[in-house]
Amino acid sequence: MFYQELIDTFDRPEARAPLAPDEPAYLNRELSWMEFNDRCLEEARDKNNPLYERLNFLAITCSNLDEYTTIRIASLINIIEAGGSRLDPAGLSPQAQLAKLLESNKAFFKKQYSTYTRQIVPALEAEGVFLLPLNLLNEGQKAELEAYFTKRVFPVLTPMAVDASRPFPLLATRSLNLIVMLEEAEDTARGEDNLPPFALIQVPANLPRLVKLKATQVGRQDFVLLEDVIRLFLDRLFDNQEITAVYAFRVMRDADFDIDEDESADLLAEIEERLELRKRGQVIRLEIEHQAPKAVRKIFKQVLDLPDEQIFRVRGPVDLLLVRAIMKALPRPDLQYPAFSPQASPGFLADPDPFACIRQGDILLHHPYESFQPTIDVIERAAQDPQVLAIKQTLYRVSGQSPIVKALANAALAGKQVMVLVELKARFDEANNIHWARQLERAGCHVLYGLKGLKTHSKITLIVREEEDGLRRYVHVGTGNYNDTTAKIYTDIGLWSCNESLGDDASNFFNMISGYSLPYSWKQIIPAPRWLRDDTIFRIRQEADQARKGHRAMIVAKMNSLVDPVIIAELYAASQAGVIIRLIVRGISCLRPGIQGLSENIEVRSLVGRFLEHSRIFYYYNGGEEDLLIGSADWMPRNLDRRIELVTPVYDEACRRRIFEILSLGLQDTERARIELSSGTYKRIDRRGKDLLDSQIELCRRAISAAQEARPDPLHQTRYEPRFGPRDK
Amino acid sequence: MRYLAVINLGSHEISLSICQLRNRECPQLLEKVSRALAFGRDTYSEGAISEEKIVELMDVLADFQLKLKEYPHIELVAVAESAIREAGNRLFILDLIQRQTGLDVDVLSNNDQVYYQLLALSHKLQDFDQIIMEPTLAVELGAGSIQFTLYDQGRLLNTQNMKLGSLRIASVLEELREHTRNFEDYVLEFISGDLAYYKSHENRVDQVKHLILNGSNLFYIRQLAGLSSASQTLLSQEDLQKALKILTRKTGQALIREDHIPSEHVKLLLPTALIVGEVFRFTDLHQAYLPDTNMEEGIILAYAMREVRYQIKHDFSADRLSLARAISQHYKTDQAHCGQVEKLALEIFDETKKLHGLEASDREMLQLAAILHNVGKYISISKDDRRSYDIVRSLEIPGMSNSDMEFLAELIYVHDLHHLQDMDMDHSHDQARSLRLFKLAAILMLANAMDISHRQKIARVRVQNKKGRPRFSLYSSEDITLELWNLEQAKAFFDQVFLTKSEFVARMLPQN
Repeated sequence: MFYQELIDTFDRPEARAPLAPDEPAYLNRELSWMEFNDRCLEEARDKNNPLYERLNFLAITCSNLDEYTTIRIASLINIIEAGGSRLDPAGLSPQAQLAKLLESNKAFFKKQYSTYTRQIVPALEAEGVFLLPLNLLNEGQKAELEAYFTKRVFPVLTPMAVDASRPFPLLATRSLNLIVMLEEAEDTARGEDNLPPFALIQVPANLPRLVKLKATQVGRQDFVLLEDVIRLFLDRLFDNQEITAVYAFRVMRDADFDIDEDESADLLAEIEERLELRKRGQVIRLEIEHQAPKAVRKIFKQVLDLPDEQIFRVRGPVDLLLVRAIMKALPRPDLQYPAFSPQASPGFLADPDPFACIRQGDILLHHPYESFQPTIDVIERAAQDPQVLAIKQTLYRVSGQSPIVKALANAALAGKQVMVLVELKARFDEANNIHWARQLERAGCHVLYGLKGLKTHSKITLIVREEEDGLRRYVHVGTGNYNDTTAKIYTDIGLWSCNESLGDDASNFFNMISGYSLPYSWKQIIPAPRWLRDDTIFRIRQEADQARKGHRAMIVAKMNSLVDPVIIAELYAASQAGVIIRLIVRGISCLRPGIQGLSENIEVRSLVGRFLEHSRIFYYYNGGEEDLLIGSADWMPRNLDRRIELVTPVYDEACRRRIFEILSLGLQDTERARIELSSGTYKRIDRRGKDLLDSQIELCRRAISAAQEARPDPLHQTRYEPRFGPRDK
Repeated sequence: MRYLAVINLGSHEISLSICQLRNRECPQLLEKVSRALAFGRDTYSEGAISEEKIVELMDVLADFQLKLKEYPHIELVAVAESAIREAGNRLFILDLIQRQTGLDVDVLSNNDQVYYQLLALSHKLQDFDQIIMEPTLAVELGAGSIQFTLYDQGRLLNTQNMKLGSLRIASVLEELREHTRNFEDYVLEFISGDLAYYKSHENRVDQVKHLILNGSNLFYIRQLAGLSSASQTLLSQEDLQKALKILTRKTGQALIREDHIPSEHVKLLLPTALIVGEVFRFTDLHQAYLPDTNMEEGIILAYAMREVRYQIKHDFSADRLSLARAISQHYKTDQAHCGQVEKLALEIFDETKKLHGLEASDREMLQLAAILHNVGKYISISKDDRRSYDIVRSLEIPGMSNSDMEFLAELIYVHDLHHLQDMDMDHSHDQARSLRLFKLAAILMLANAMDISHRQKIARVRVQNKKGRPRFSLYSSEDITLELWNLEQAKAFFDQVFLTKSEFVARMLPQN
């Protein structure tokens, strides 16, 4: 029984006073997301983390915010411009949300740059890594830089003067640029726009952001920023012109686009076109060095039609993703977490034939603790196996050189029926997915480009194999993408099974998404849209009913985001009925826990650590049945109503035990967990009286131990095991 | 391993069922896909299928063919139901399908459909054979029509078709739905006439103890009644009322949005539920079995029985015979005489196997002919052969195709020697069929001739081979001079067909 272990570790949150009459029961989604990013920034500020991991977290907060700005903030602005005024569940209008968000962003930037300048830079210097400003360069270094500039940088620079006859150029989103203010000639009149003369230079993205100087001292490495190198030799680009000032900046453009699928005769071509248009989206934000005066900022305001609130002045280098460049330019394993290799899965060690392994029982893979390789192996094996009749898979985000895609293509070339649903609308992966979709089609796969009006977010594979005792279906259902790269850094669960009911459902699922038919009912899986929302509400209400009758009732769920107001309302009702609810929500949580009369039985915690928590697990006590489910869906409206998702119960006892351990460790984590307060802010776990536990480290240990037990190191075995030739393959 | 695919062009959907066949084992359904395409809507209201639906049909068949590629060497059966059967442009549609896809679609008769439905039903419903030991009414609620089948004492008594399918009703009364608030009342009025006629015609309905309901729409009625578990296989009147309440109060859109009823089924549910309500009412029963089977399962079973020797429990041959007897009784034939002719015909058949070389299915045909050969006398005693032919041709006997019924009717017609002149032996297109007909007719004639007096004088017949010629020993304890005299003409035909010289002798029945 898992219940006892879960209840024993439950610290009921301290309930604050009930909500005031005008106080909303929900938190704003956008501000909650900022809280999540702030938790990531906290990891960058945590001196207990290895330095390079802190740099990594800082970089993560940058790229997170970039993506967030170009999509979410852009979306809000679009809504406001279109006259939208609907209040969100937290009672905020789009205008109010935007105002709070921009304010929050500015505070965040300040904290981010403070982290960089006051913590990261000194820490790097203590490790002998220096980012030299121009005024600290000696002559030798300047000469070295000049040679570099002449040879590598100058040939690729294209200054773009802006004046009456040369309009402001289109600046690529997120690209780093310099605005060079030029001396105004007395005999030259300003254009109609009345702007002073200036030029723009894009800092080449195909050159390293950091220029490494020759090391002259043991234990010390100096770098100079590329934009500073350009700044140093700028006069070579502007003969006969006086440069008065130079400031680095970058713009962020609206990257969201909608496709009218009904009007698109060729969805693939339409998306490719839209990707081009993305480059020209409306400018949403300008980041510029703090010292740029008002007059310079006014240029951007005028040309880009940007209000003050969307201009961010930064006290440091523009685009702090430069920290990744430090890590790349100067690898320092001693400044990172101890290396961890995803471990072998004991389930797949039982037999060289992966299908035989699965036939012995369901196999759970927990990434990145366990390697993603077995999943690749199964698909590669299926591609070559003459008994395999068909392979079907949904692909949402795949890696650059995806072995999965290659295996699917090989399977099609080998004459198998291969059906792949490639979701072309996976944001920021559109180009990648288009590339793979084309490749798969050329190999002879039957490729579907998603479904009209819905994004296919499910992660499922079906392999149909003809065996001696009949047709057997091997199914993989996962919480993460078929991406061997992210499988090393995201925590996810994948389940391999040849259970008949699951096989029937998987077959029907693919028939459904390929447009053949809509099944009447499902034996095991619960897809969205249509079924998952009702099922989730039913299960929550079932727990509430049990609690009202005085029976045990508990819900434990792990997901990336909790936003859906209807589900949250059900959770509140369940809490009020007495259900114990423990939630591990990595990112956004719009639920307000620990409020008397509303949510005093609900605890929400977030885990932010070395690996990105990505798995989705759902536990319902259900009168002792203890239903455990895994799947692809978070509790967000988009997952429940606008995407194809898949959640499946897990029945195999060994798999259930492992999934339960994941939940249990997450709920006992004292190092990576932060508890959500009713205000929506988070605080670290109070460790007093508790055993210290980092759930991710513990899971690493367990994976290593399990792999060693399943396949002991030959050095330490009690007897040697010879190989016997082909049958040992 | 063998794979079978069944494509069914139904009245409101096209389905593809794929199953796995193994020797002597129950077929295992692997996949089923279906697409809504309401042919019936066109056929029942306009009399022909629209071009738009034909185009969509071809798209669906192309998709199905793609699906079939997933299976190696798959065997294929393609059938069509009443919506295609009754469509005026049926021939052109079938031709187009053949040309574009290579599929030869077999248009099923209602008889065929009934047989497959009952086959599936008897196989799926556990204890079916026990249930039908008591009066049982099985109602198949199709899109085009409903079929009432009555069983008792383990045997089929009667099966009747009525053109009151849910899609037919919905199509015919479509306009009325838009203009009235009480659509359900009009539906009830529409269906009540035929149902009342059935009840008056079939008074055994009053004694029915078990009700079996089947049809694809029942799945959603169960859902609306809150019966979501697959193990809940009974529908009570209360359950039906729950579902009816929802159906009469909610709009189609609300049913789609809130109850997740597929749009193509929404309009069919109310007529189905109302028919079920009427059936509950006139049987005065409070619950019904819902085996949830479909015709495709029956087709698969029939194929498995034929191709991989799978055996089902229920005896359909016995059903056909009992139905024939019920029909014979209905038409007030001389039961003793028909029974005698049946007995003697079978004895002759069994005793002369080496002579005639016919098969077991022919034996059943002979038996049916013997049971039904005098049904025409109900209408005209003197011209009964033609009337018998007409009546038998119009009968529906599950498991007998249209061509089987045609054959049976002809057999009954020609058992009267005078009608043999109507048969053109030299120019018949199907020589094998003609030969089969004459052989069976010859046997039937003999059997009939042996009871010319309708007094069942001959107790049994035995046949011996005397120097290559059959000697028929007719055992009786009475004077059978008349029978022997009457046999001369039938004997002549018998000898002509089998190219022999038969002999008939009277024998006294041993006294014991």
